[in-house]
Amino acid sequence: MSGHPEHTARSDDAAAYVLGALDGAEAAEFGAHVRSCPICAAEVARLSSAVAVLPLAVTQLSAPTSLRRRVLKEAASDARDGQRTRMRALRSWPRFAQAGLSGAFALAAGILIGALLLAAGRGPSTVIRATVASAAAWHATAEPVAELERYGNRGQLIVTRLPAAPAGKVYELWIERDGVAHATNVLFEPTSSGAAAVDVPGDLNGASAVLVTAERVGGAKVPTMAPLIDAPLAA
Amino acid sequence: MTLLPTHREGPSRAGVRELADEELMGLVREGEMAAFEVIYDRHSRVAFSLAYRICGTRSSAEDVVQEAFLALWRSGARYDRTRGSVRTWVLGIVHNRAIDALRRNVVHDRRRASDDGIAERLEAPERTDAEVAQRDEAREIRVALQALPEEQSRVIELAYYGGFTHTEIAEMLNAPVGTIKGRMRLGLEKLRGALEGSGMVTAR
Repeated sequence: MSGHPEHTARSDDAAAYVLGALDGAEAAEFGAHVRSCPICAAEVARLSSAVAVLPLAVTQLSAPTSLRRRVLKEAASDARDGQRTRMRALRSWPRFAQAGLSGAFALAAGILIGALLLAAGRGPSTVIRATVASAAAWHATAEPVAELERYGNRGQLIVTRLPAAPAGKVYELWIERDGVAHATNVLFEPTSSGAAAVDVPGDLNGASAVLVTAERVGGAKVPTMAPLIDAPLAA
Repeated sequence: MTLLPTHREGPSRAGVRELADEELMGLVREGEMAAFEVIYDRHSRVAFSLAYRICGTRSSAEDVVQEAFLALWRSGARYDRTRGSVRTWVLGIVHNRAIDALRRNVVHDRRRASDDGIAERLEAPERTDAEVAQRDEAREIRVALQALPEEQSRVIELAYYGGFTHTEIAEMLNAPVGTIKGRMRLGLEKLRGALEGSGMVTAR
């Protein structure tokens, strides 16, 4: 198709991409390309259907009974924790104003804190709507949407419409305590559709926020930029 | 025997077991433990098998499967049926987490070493019709994989099960990067072609 002259040259990239064999920067670049090229997107979908059968080809083993017991116990415990969780008063957001953020990186005004309670049976785990940098900061037409689901002392960051990190960079997750961002060593890339679900490692008790920045491939020891995503936790 | 009480009143246990995966995910979203239990029972075997194949140790595979199913429980709302089956979604989570575990070097040195030949000892007997069907399906896919030229199946296996990037594979096999990516594409194309008639892959 003349509108997408690159597509004829990128079928091999699509194969490596669906197998997870591109490195971070290449995957980010190709992921961004796929979002704007319907032909490569179709190629990715087509080859993905072959990759989807690969898990089924391995020798089938019995999952240990003890594992089943553990998983179900943990899930039930989540539900019970959730019932005890109450909507928390969340802190205000002057930190970014203090950091002098402006222009493209100015964070969307106001904290959209939704302490949404999940549907009744699931138990009211706390869902915190994170602030995100404005669309221009992401070089995107639409702002990503980020939520932190918190279950007791643990959490998972769920992001949609997240553009691929800039070339040579990956997204890095931080936990802020006492105003200092601590590395979690969690680096991530969104899927080709811009989705990411990232478990926050460790204990969130005493933490003030979960943050995301874009850092060089391999990650950084300290953030090198203002957070692109900021999920504030209870004070 | 019920291991755990369901979190709230919902469909009967027997009734839940009759539901399709996609319907179960609706209940999982609502916190229905019985639905989660059925999803676990349907997919934990293949999930554990995949995790074990990638990680190479039982303990790491267990950790991966536990993390993956709890992620499903906690973020079931993110399942989008228009993007594939529940099984594909679950196995995608398992694959990503298993590869992450490999790349964190947690199990790097032991991968592919079937610890104490445990793979053989754990190999599951088929107890249900679904498991028999799954075994037949697995056999068909293995045949299709084995029918690929070795150079193509090898790069696919190194990438998918080994978590290696195309540049690492190129170095390992002493071949140009472009050649490796080309083999990946040809292999996947042939695999699709071989399985299209079985309905295991979609014809697009």
